[in-house]
Amino acid sequence: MISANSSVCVEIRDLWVRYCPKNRWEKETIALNGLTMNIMKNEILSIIGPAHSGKTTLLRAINRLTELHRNVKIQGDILLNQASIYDPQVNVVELRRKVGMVFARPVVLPKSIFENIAYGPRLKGIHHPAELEKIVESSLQAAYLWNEVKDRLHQPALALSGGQQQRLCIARVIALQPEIIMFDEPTSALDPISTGKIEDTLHELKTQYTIILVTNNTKQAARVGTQSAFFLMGKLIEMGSTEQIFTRPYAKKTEDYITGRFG
Amino acid sequence: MIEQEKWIKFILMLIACSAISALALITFFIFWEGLPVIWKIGLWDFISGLKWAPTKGKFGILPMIVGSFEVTFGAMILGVPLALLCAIYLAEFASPRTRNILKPAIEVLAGIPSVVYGFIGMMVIVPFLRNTFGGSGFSVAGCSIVLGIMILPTITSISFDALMAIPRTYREGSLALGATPWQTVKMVVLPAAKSGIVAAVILGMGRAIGETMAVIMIAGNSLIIPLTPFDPVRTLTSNIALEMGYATGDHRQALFATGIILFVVIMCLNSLANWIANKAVAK
Repeated sequence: MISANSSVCVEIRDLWVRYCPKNRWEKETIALNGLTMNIMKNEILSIIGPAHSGKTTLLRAINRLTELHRNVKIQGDILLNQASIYDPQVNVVELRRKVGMVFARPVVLPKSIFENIAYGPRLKGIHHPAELEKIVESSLQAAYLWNEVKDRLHQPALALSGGQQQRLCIARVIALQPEIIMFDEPTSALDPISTGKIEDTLHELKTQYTIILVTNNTKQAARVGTQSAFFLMGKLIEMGSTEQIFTRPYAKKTEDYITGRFG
Repeated sequence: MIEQEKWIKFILMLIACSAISALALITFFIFWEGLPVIWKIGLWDFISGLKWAPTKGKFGILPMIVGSFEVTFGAMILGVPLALLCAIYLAEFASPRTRNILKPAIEVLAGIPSVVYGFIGMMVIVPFLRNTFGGSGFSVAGCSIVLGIMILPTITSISFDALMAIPRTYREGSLALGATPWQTVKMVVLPAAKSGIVAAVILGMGRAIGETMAVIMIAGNSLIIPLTPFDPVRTLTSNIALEMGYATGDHRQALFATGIILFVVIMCLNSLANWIANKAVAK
């Protein structure tokens, strides 16, 4: 399964994520159930699976957003470039700059377009106006949004359309120069045209970044992903090249899901 | 059926109007009682007069206007940062268990009668100020400290609600971009909650400027313009409460006129608050 010229970027080792109940009578939920997988550099890994199969939890474990929940227990390990991200020495803020994330619903901060993109670089300590302008322009261009917004950079970002907002979020992540960009169902709230634009962007980004794409849309996974993984009930059922998963899956469950027999 | 709906709508409208008519009546009444004396003395002489001597027919309320503003300003300086930081801690950093203990505790502050605040001020804060800074201890500073505590629950709980109304996705979005929790609060959550927080601060201000009983007990009530925080002071509200019991004729009307000034000041503050809040929303 591992091609010769790509190297491992993220290594997930026997990862368990449990949401503990707030009350004694509630049941504990196991979101990820002993997950082990490798994510290769400069690939687009698309993760498919029905609701509650742990796809989003995995993304949130990789940038440690899971920690915002108070009742979550994590076991196992995630290695980013051979170093554990759960090591007490790891600076979470640095980690989140390396592992960017785009959410299902575009999270546009109530600021101008320019300020939305400059937000991350500013936090990194870049304050020089010319430098910020350069970052904003190149990020917007990488997300194919520059031509649509270049004349109104200082207008409120909330006035953009849904598709534009989502591309703004992608540009904002690019502005941080991350290693990995994770997309959590990035087109689930968008129309087909915006979806097409975002998929094009994903293809372009692949050359520079490692991409993890969680999607409910199996067709999108087939169109965009170079690698695909199928999750079910917190377990990895199957992972391989997209071509193999969609044409001759090994597992019966994968085949059933892709052909739409359940899920 | 439709006939019945009409009646219900009509009755509800009457009830709503009666609440507003109370406001209209109050406005009408204080203006009716107070305006004649303002005509007689002249508006400018009334609000800029330094001397308040009802028996000699001198009605100047400048010391009290200045006093009210000083006391309120001091209360804001002490109360607003405390209340805001409280709200930020409760909304952003406290665990649910801590929040469930602290929030009701702060709200209890709002339920304590103001005379009790006055009493505590007299027994604790006034002697403390007297021993530390000299003077009588009955002063602007004492009032500001007590009012700062009194406005705490108002500002804390309204700004807490404003902070909690900010969607969780804003916070996660900001954290995912490599912001620390404090940076997230400072750069995303607070600006987004700005209009609610401004409203909270203005309501607190209204409470401070209108408070009477606690202030009477701590202020010293001298008729001078307080020049230092440790000078005694008389506010517009305490002037009315102190003298209404025995005032007659022009004196009585002058107290109503004091009420008019207070009314106008508070109206201006509220309009300012709405204006700021709307401006924040439009941005």
